[in-house]
Amino acid sequence: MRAVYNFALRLTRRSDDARDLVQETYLRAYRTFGNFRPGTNGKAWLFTILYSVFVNKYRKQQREPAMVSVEELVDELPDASQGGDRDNASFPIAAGSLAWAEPEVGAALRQLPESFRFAVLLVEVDELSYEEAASVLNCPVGTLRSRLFRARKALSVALRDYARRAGYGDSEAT
Amino acid sequence: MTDQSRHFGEEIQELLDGRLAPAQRTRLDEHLTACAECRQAQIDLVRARRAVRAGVPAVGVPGDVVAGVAAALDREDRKLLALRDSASARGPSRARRLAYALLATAAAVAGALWLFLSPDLPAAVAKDYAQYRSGQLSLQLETDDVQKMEGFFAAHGIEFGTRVFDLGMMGYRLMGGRVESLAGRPSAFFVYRGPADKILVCQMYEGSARELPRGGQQQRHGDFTFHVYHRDGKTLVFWEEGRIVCVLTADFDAEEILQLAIAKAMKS
Repeated sequence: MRAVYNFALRLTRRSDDARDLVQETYLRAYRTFGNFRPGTNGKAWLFTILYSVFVNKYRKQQREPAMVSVEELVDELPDASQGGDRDNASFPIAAGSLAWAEPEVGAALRQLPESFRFAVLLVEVDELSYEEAASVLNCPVGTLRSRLFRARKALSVALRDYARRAGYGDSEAT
Repeated sequence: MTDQSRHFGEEIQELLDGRLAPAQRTRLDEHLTACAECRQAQIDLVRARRAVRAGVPAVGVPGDVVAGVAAALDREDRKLLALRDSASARGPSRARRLAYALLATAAAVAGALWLFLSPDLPAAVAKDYAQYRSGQLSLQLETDDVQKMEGFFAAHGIEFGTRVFDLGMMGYRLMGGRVESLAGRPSAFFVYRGPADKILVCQMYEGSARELPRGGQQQRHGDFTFHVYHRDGKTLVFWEEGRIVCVLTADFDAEEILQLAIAKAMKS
């Protein structure tokens, strides 16, 4: 339930909405358990239900972020090591709370478009495969791959100094 | 023979994620050996990936979430069992009526449960004040510099602009503050010390006065509506500043606290 709750928290940004979303997710999973295919990833199945509930019930209150090119992303994403743009003033994209993340990492993630941020979090943090993450976000695998790459590229720029200071990737990249 | 005709992008990502076919991997490995630019891109991607993995820890699941899910599933079980028994005993028409009744009951129970689980914000704020006074809550930054305090909040997960006003004219000096969690959301918590060692605590959080429970007294001054509550010997004065809710808490004269709140609100 920890992974499901954390995913809900990242989507809704509020603990009370996350609580409702988790409850609704488990209720729907219980009612439709016959649709679950044994041997597949149960977490990804729950995430798919959760994201569907979120889109239908909560997303209407939020603004769909605009699609931007990776060049625009890299140009506009401030360097987290320089303090970042905490209020998103120059990049009006819906921001998740991520208050519990490392400040530099949270600042860099917050400035990604929502669909890019979810792609990178599902793959990096929740360790879903491309196919599972694409299923959760209801998009083609190719789209997921592209969003993931663009998000990672933007993050690599924003976090370059921070990651070097923190010792991430000092060893050979593999 | 290495492929030097172009640089690689998504293929490097696919390599890191273990998704390249052996032949593609060999070709890219050869290219990376010879191409410093792509090798740097690979190192940057690895660094970003490790930073994200390490920098986004999972938070624990609150007990009320677990209890809420368990209760919802129990209700669902009871509903299904009742429907099944009813359908077999009385026929489809009565079963349908019973289903409607059960759904209405479930909605009422859910509503009651929601009200029960909704946080009593004044009680939570009063508890924070008591915990600070008893030493259970400490200040993460001790300072009388309002700008340093605001900078601390900005650097520690408070995403809205905090306005930590100097209440020196009222005889209150800033002591410092901390980032607190109030009903599951981050709150800027800062403390003033006044004459006769009076302690005044201010908290600011994202929300709405509509979340406050009934029973508070409302007073209007200028463009602001102040909501006054009393909990455990403390007086709490809430007001909205845009999407931010401010609350002043203290255990001394209620009118004095209200006047301090008005002074702070009017400076915004």
